[in-house]
Amino acid sequence: MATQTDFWGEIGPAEVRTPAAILREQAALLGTKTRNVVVAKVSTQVDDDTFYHSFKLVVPALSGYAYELFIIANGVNPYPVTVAFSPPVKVKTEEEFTAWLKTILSSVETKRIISNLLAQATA
Amino acid sequence: MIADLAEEHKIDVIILAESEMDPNSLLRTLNHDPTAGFHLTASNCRRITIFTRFSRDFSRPTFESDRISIRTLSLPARAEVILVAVHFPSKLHLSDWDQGFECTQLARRIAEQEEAAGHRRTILVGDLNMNPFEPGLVGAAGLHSVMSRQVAARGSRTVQGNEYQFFYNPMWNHFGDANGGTAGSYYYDDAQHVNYFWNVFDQVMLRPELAERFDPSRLYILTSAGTRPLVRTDGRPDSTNASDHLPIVFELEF
Repeated sequence: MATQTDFWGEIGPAEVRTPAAILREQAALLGTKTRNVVVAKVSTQVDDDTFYHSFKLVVPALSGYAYELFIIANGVNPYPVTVAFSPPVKVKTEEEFTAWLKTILSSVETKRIISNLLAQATA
Repeated sequence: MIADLAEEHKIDVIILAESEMDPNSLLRTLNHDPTAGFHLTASNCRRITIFTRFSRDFSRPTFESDRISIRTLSLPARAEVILVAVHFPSKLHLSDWDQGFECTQLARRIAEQEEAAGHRRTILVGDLNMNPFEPGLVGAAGLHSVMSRQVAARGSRTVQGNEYQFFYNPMWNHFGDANGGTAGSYYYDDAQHVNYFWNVFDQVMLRPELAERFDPSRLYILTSAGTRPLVRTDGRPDSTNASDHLPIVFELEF
Protein backbone atom coordinates (compact mmCIF):
# COMPACT_ATOMS: atom_id res chain seq x y z
CA MET A 1 0.00 0.00 0.00
CA ALA A 2 1.35 3.39 -0.97
CA THR A 3 2.22 5.85 1.78
CA GLN A 4 -0.38 8.60 2.29
CA THR A 5 0.84 11.98 1.20
CA ASP A 6 -0.14 15.15 3.13
CA PHE A 7 -1.08 17.77 0.63
CA TRP A 8 -2.03 20.29 3.35
CA GLY A 9 1.39 21.30 4.56
CA GLU A 10 1.69 23.34 7.76
CA ILE A 11 -1.53 25.04 8.92
CA GLY A 12 -1.83 27.67 11.67
CA PRO A 13 -3.55 30.95 12.35
CA ALA A 14 -2.21 33.94 10.46
CA GLU A 15 0.25 35.87 12.55
CA VAL A 16 -1.29 39.15 11.52
CA ARG A 17 -3.86 40.58 13.97
CA THR A 18 -7.19 41.08 12.30
CA PRO A 19 -8.86 44.52 12.26
CA ALA A 20 -11.76 43.12 14.32
CA ALA A 21 -9.36 41.82 16.99
CA ILE A 22 -7.64 45.19 17.22
CA LEU A 23 -10.99 46.99 17.47
CA ARG A 24 -12.14 44.66 20.24
CA GLU A 25 -8.92 45.22 22.20
CA GLN A 26 -9.45 48.97 22.09
CA ALA A 27 -13.17 48.66 22.81
CA ALA A 28 -12.42 46.69 25.98
CA LEU A 29 -10.21 49.50 27.27
CA LEU A 30 -12.80 52.28 27.20
CA GLY A 31 -15.08 50.90 29.90
CA THR A 32 -12.31 50.93 32.49
CA LYS A 33 -11.55 54.58 31.67
CA THR A 34 -15.17 55.65 32.13
CA ARG A 35 -16.21 53.29 34.96
CA ASN A 36 -18.46 51.65 32.39
CA VAL A 37 -20.56 54.78 32.01
CA VAL A 38 -19.56 54.80 28.33
CA VAL A 39 -18.46 51.51 26.82
CA ALA A 40 -17.36 50.61 23.32
CA LYS A 41 -18.81 47.73 21.34
CA VAL A 42 -17.81 46.16 18.06
CA SER A 43 -20.39 44.36 15.95
CA THR A 44 -19.64 42.49 12.76
CA GLN A 45 -21.85 41.74 9.77
CA VAL A 46 -20.94 39.68 6.75
CA ASP A 47 -22.22 40.42 3.25
CA ASP A 48 -21.00 38.13 0.49
CA ASP A 49 -17.24 38.12 1.01
CA THR A 50 -17.00 41.38 2.95
CA PHE A 51 -16.83 41.78 6.74
CA TYR A 52 -18.26 45.03 8.12
CA HIS A 53 -17.21 46.05 11.63
CA SER A 54 -19.11 48.81 13.40
CA PHE A 55 -17.42 50.57 16.34
CA LYS A 56 -19.97 52.15 18.69
CA LEU A 57 -19.89 54.08 21.94
CA VAL A 58 -22.75 52.83 24.10
CA VAL A 59 -24.25 54.46 27.21
CA PRO A 60 -26.12 51.84 29.27
CA ALA A 61 -27.64 54.52 31.55
CA LEU A 62 -29.26 56.23 28.53
CA SER A 63 -31.31 53.17 27.61
CA GLY A 64 -28.46 51.84 25.52
CA TYR A 65 -28.00 54.98 23.40
CA ALA A 66 -25.29 54.26 20.81
CA TYR A 67 -23.04 56.60 18.85
CA GLU A 68 -21.38 54.93 15.89
CA LEU A 69 -17.86 56.29 15.50
CA PHE A 70 -17.06 54.48 12.26
CA ILE A 71 -17.55 51.39 10.13
CA ILE A 72 -14.68 49.52 8.51
CA ALA A 73 -14.76 46.74 5.94
CA ASN A 74 -12.32 44.03 4.94
CA GLY A 75 -12.48 41.02 2.66
CA VAL A 76 -11.45 37.44 3.36
CA ASN A 77 -7.94 38.80 3.76
CA PRO A 78 -7.81 41.09 6.81
CA TYR A 79 -6.00 43.83 4.91
CA PRO A 80 -6.53 46.18 3.19
CA VAL A 81 -9.24 47.78 5.30
CA THR A 82 -11.67 50.34 3.93
CA VAL A 83 -13.03 52.96 6.30
CA ALA A 84 -16.50 54.19 5.36
CA PHE A 85 -15.67 57.86 5.61
CA SER A 86 -16.42 60.54 3.07
CA PRO A 87 -14.29 60.07 1.04
CA PRO A 88 -13.50 56.45 1.95
CA VAL A 89 -10.07 55.77 3.45
CA LYS A 90 -8.07 52.65 2.54
CA VAL A 91 -5.35 51.32 4.87
CA LYS A 92 -3.16 48.54 3.54
CA THR A 93 -1.41 46.96 6.52
CA GLU A 94 -1.85 46.25 10.22
CA GLU A 95 0.63 49.00 11.03
CA GLU A 96 -1.27 51.53 8.95
CA PHE A 97 -4.54 50.43 10.50
CA THR A 98 -3.32 50.75 14.10
CA ALA A 99 -1.87 54.17 13.31
CA TRP A 100 -5.19 55.29 11.77
CA LEU A 101 -7.17 53.88 14.71
CA LYS A 102 -4.98 55.67 17.23
CA THR A 103 -5.56 58.93 15.40
CA ILE A 104 -9.34 58.47 15.47
CA LEU A 105 -9.69 57.26 19.06
CA SER A 106 -7.47 60.00 20.46
CA SER A 107 -8.93 62.76 18.28
CA VAL A 108 -10.47 65.91 19.66
CA GLU A 109 -13.82 64.95 18.10
CA THR A 110 -13.91 61.52 19.75
CA LYS A 111 -13.02 63.04 23.11
CA ARG A 112 -15.76 65.64 22.63
CA ILE A 113 -18.35 62.96 22.01
CA ILE A 114 -17.25 60.82 24.97
CA SER A 115 -17.21 63.88 27.26
CA ASN A 116 -20.73 64.78 26.14
CA LEU A 117 -21.94 61.22 26.72
CA LEU A 118 -20.41 61.14 30.19
CA ALA A 119 -22.14 64.42 31.02
CA GLN A 120 -25.47 63.24 29.63
CA ALA A 121 -25.27 59.93 31.48
CA THR A 122 -24.66 61.58 34.83
CA ALA A 123 -27.05 64.52 34.37
CA MET B 1 -35.55 83.25 7.47
CA ILE B 2 -35.91 79.90 9.29
CA ALA B 3 -37.89 81.62 12.02
CA ASP B 4 -40.13 83.19 9.38
CA LEU B 5 -40.75 79.79 7.82
CA ALA B 6 -41.47 78.25 11.22
CA GLU B 7 -44.02 80.93 11.98
CA GLU B 8 -45.58 80.99 8.52
CA HIS B 9 -46.06 77.21 8.33
CA LYS B 10 -46.69 76.59 12.05
CA ILE B 11 -43.79 74.17 12.15
CA ASP B 12 -43.53 71.82 15.15
CA VAL B 13 -40.24 70.13 14.25
CA ILE B 14 -37.36 71.81 12.39
CA ILE B 15 -34.59 69.57 11.04
CA LEU B 16 -31.49 71.23 9.62
CA ALA B 17 -28.75 69.37 7.76
CA GLU B 18 -25.23 70.76 7.90
CA SER B 19 -26.32 74.08 9.30
CA GLU B 20 -23.46 76.49 9.95
CA MET B 21 -25.57 78.65 12.24
CA ASP B 22 -24.96 78.66 15.98
CA PRO B 23 -27.90 76.58 17.28
CA ASN B 24 -28.30 78.63 20.46
CA SER B 25 -28.39 81.85 18.49
CA LEU B 26 -30.95 80.33 16.11
CA LEU B 27 -32.98 79.14 19.09
CA ARG B 28 -33.16 82.71 20.40
CA THR B 29 -34.32 83.88 16.98
CA LEU B 30 -36.94 81.15 16.77
CA ASN B 31 -38.23 82.22 20.18
CA HIS B 32 -38.32 85.95 19.46
CA ASP B 33 -42.03 85.49 19.93
CA PRO B 34 -42.19 84.12 23.50
CA THR B 35 -45.16 81.94 22.59
CA ALA B 36 -43.12 80.08 19.95
CA GLY B 37 -41.69 77.75 22.59
CA PHE B 38 -38.98 76.06 20.56
CA HIS B 39 -36.42 73.76 22.20
CA LEU B 40 -33.07 72.56 20.92
CA THR B 41 -33.00 68.76 21.18
CA ALA B 42 -30.10 66.88 22.74
CA SER B 43 -27.81 65.42 20.09
CA ASN B 44 -24.22 64.42 19.49
CA CYS B 45 -24.61 64.44 15.72
CA ARG B 46 -22.62 67.34 14.29
CA ARG B 47 -24.40 67.53 10.96
CA ILE B 48 -28.01 67.47 12.13
CA THR B 49 -29.74 70.08 14.28
CA ILE B 50 -33.30 69.55 15.48
CA PHE B 51 -35.63 72.05 17.15
CA THR B 52 -39.06 71.12 18.46
CA ARG B 53 -41.99 73.07 19.84
CA PHE B 54 -42.47 70.43 22.48
CA SER B 55 -40.27 69.64 25.45
CA ARG B 56 -36.96 67.98 24.71
CA ASP B 57 -38.01 65.35 27.26
CA PHE B 58 -40.35 63.97 24.62
CA SER B 59 -37.53 63.49 22.13
CA ARG B 60 -34.92 60.89 23.10
CA PRO B 61 -31.99 60.02 20.80
CA THR B 62 -31.34 56.29 20.56
CA PHE B 63 -28.70 56.04 17.84
CA GLU B 64 -26.44 58.63 16.26
CA SER B 65 -23.37 58.98 14.14
CA ASP B 66 -21.67 61.82 12.36
CA ARG B 67 -24.46 61.92 9.78
CA ILE B 68 -27.45 60.16 11.34
CA SER B 69 -29.68 60.98 14.29
CA ILE B 70 -32.38 58.47 15.22
CA ARG B 71 -34.71 59.36 18.08
CA THR B 72 -38.07 58.49 19.49
CA LEU B 73 -40.80 61.13 19.72
CA SER B 74 -43.14 60.26 22.56
CA LEU B 75 -45.80 62.92 22.84
CA PRO B 76 -48.58 62.74 25.41
CA ALA B 77 -51.66 60.89 24.16
CA ARG B 78 -49.90 60.07 20.87
CA ALA B 79 -48.37 56.83 19.64
CA GLU B 80 -44.60 56.94 19.78
CA VAL B 81 -42.82 57.47 16.46
CA ILE B 82 -39.20 57.01 15.42
CA LEU B 83 -37.66 60.02 13.68
CA VAL B 84 -34.63 59.35 11.51
CA ALA B 85 -32.72 62.46 10.39
CA VAL B 86 -29.96 62.00 7.86
CA HIS B 87 -27.37 63.95 5.95
CA PHE B 88 -25.59 61.64 3.52
CA PRO B 89 -22.27 62.53 1.89
CA SER B 90 -22.21 64.44 -1.36
CA LYS B 91 -21.80 62.77 -4.72
CA LEU B 92 -18.60 64.78 -5.01
CA HIS B 93 -17.02 62.55 -2.34
CA LEU B 94 -18.66 59.15 -2.77
CA SER B 95 -19.15 56.75 -5.66
CA ASP B 96 -22.61 55.40 -6.46
CA TRP B 97 -21.51 52.12 -4.85
CA ASP B 98 -20.48 53.89 -1.66
CA GLN B 99 -23.77 55.78 -1.53
CA GLY B 100 -25.60 52.48 -1.85
CA PHE B 101 -23.52 51.10 1.02
CA GLU B 102 -24.57 54.07 3.18
CA CYS B 103 -28.22 53.24 2.48
CA THR B 104 -27.75 49.57 3.39
CA GLN B 105 -26.08 50.48 6.66
CA LEU B 106 -28.80 53.04 7.48
CA ALA B 107 -31.52 50.49 6.72
CA ARG B 108 -29.89 48.11 9.21
CA ARG B 109 -29.67 50.78 11.89
CA ILE B 110 -33.33 51.67 11.40
CA ALA B 111 -34.32 48.00 11.62
CA GLU B 112 -32.36 47.67 14.87
CA GLN B 113 -34.08 50.70 16.38
CA GLU B 114 -37.50 49.50 15.24
CA GLU B 115 -36.78 46.12 16.79
CA ALA B 116 -35.79 47.80 20.06
CA ALA B 117 -38.85 50.09 20.02
CA GLY B 118 -41.24 47.28 19.19
CA HIS B 119 -42.92 49.16 16.34
CA ARG B 120 -42.27 50.54 12.88
CA ARG B 121 -43.90 53.96 13.06
CA THR B 122 -40.86 55.51 11.42
CA ILE B 123 -40.30 58.78 9.55
CA LEU B 124 -37.07 59.39 7.68
CA VAL B 125 -36.17 62.98 6.76
CA GLY B 126 -33.00 64.32 5.29
CA ASP B 127 -30.63 65.43 2.60
CA LEU B 128 -29.81 62.06 1.08
CA ASN B 129 -27.73 63.47 -1.77
CA MET B 130 -29.40 60.85 -3.96
CA ASN B 131 -32.53 60.94 -6.07
CA PRO B 132 -35.49 58.72 -5.11
CA PHE B 133 -34.88 56.45 -8.12
CA GLU B 134 -31.28 55.56 -7.24
CA PRO B 135 -30.47 51.95 -6.28
CA GLY B 136 -29.57 52.74 -2.66
CA LEU B 137 -33.03 54.21 -2.06
CA VAL B 138 -35.03 51.74 -4.13
CA GLY B 139 -33.10 48.50 -3.53
CA ALA B 140 -34.60 46.01 -1.11
CA ALA B 141 -31.43 45.86 1.01
CA GLY B 142 -31.18 49.65 0.89
CA LEU B 143 -33.97 51.92 2.06
CA HIS B 144 -36.48 50.09 -0.12
CA SER B 145 -38.61 53.16 -0.73
CA VAL B 146 -41.36 53.16 -3.34
CA MET B 147 -43.49 55.81 -5.03
CA SER B 148 -46.86 54.25 -4.18
CA ARG B 149 -48.62 54.01 -0.83
CA GLN B 150 -50.51 51.04 -2.20
CA VAL B 151 -47.29 49.14 -2.88
CA ALA B 152 -45.77 50.21 0.45
CA ALA B 153 -48.91 49.01 2.21
CA ARG B 154 -47.76 45.45 1.51
CA GLY B 155 -45.45 46.09 4.44
CA SER B 156 -42.55 44.00 3.24
CA ARG B 157 -41.42 41.72 0.47
CA THR B 158 -39.04 38.80 0.29
CA VAL B 159 -36.06 38.82 -2.03
CA GLN B 160 -33.65 35.88 -2.23
CA GLY B 161 -35.06 34.52 1.02
CA ASN B 162 -34.68 37.77 3.00
CA GLU B 163 -37.59 39.95 4.11
CA TYR B 164 -37.30 43.72 3.60
CA GLN B 165 -39.66 46.39 4.98
CA PHE B 166 -40.97 49.10 2.66
CA PHE B 167 -40.81 52.85 2.98
CA TYR B 168 -43.22 55.09 1.08
CA ASN B 169 -41.39 57.93 -0.62
CA PRO B 170 -43.75 60.78 -1.57
CA MET B 171 -40.88 62.76 -3.12
CA TRP B 172 -41.44 60.94 -6.41
CA ASN B 173 -44.35 63.34 -6.86
CA HIS B 174 -42.00 66.32 -6.93
CA PHE B 175 -40.02 65.75 -10.09
CA GLY B 176 -40.47 68.20 -12.93
CA ASP B 177 -42.28 71.46 -13.34
CA ALA B 178 -45.88 70.27 -13.69
CA ASN B 179 -46.75 71.46 -10.19
CA GLY B 180 -45.63 74.98 -11.03
CA GLY B 181 -43.38 75.70 -8.05
CA THR B 182 -39.97 74.18 -8.69
CA ALA B 183 -38.68 71.14 -10.60
CA GLY B 184 -36.76 69.75 -7.61
CA SER B 185 -35.03 70.74 -4.38
CA TYR B 186 -31.45 70.97 -5.64
CA TYR B 187 -29.99 72.16 -8.93
CA TYR B 188 -26.70 70.97 -10.37
CA ASP B 189 -25.30 71.71 -13.80
CA ASP B 190 -22.11 70.31 -15.24
CA ALA B 191 -20.72 69.16 -18.58
CA GLN B 192 -21.48 65.44 -18.25
CA HIS B 193 -23.57 63.52 -20.77
CA VAL B 194 -26.19 62.55 -18.18
CA ASN B 195 -27.36 65.55 -16.21
CA TYR B 196 -30.76 65.81 -14.51
CA PHE B 197 -30.17 69.49 -13.61
CA TRP B 198 -32.96 69.38 -11.03
CA ASN B 199 -32.68 66.76 -8.30
CA VAL B 200 -34.84 65.73 -5.37
CA PHE B 201 -32.13 65.04 -2.82
CA ASP B 202 -34.17 66.30 0.14
CA GLN B 203 -36.69 63.69 1.09
CA VAL B 204 -39.28 62.35 3.48
CA MET B 205 -40.04 58.65 3.76
CA LEU B 206 -42.67 56.93 5.86
CA ARG B 207 -43.30 53.38 6.89
CA PRO B 208 -46.71 52.09 5.79
CA GLU B 209 -48.01 52.44 9.38
CA LEU B 210 -47.66 56.23 9.03
CA ALA B 211 -48.11 56.55 5.26
CA GLU B 212 -51.78 55.63 5.55
CA ARG B 213 -52.32 58.80 7.62
CA PHE B 214 -50.26 61.01 5.34
CA ASP B 215 -51.65 63.26 2.63
CA PRO B 216 -49.04 63.70 -0.15
CA SER B 217 -50.67 66.98 -1.19
CA ARG B 218 -49.59 68.40 2.19
CA LEU B 219 -45.90 68.13 1.32
CA TYR B 220 -44.25 71.12 -0.34
CA ILE B 221 -40.85 72.15 -1.63
CA LEU B 222 -40.75 75.80 -0.64
CA THR B 223 -39.50 78.56 -2.91
CA SER B 224 -40.16 81.48 -0.59
CA ALA B 225 -40.17 82.41 3.07
CA GLY B 226 -43.00 84.88 3.44
CA THR B 227 -42.24 87.58 0.90
CA ARG B 228 -38.58 86.62 0.62
CA PRO B 229 -37.69 84.35 -2.30
CA LEU B 230 -35.49 81.30 -1.69
CA VAL B 231 -34.78 81.09 -5.41
CA ARG B 232 -33.09 83.37 -7.91
CA THR B 233 -34.92 84.96 -10.81
CA ASP B 234 -34.11 81.86 -12.92
CA GLY B 235 -35.82 79.64 -10.33
CA ARG B 236 -32.66 78.01 -9.02
CA PRO B 237 -31.96 77.90 -5.26
CA ASP B 238 -30.42 81.14 -4.04
CA SER B 239 -27.34 79.74 -2.29
CA THR B 240 -26.01 83.23 -1.62
CA ASN B 241 -28.93 84.57 0.37
CA ALA B 242 -30.63 81.33 1.47
CA SER B 243 -29.41 77.78 0.77
CA ASP B 244 -28.35 75.61 -2.18
CA HIS B 245 -31.13 73.21 -1.15
CA LEU B 246 -34.78 74.21 -0.98
CA PRO B 247 -36.60 73.34 2.26
CA ILE B 248 -39.42 70.84 2.41
CA VAL B 249 -42.44 71.11 4.68
CA PHE B 250 -44.92 68.33 5.40
CA GLU B 251 -47.76 67.52 7.75
CA LEU B 252 -48.31 64.23 9.48
CA GLU B 253 -50.94 63.13 11.98
CA PHE B 254 -49.74 60.52 14.41
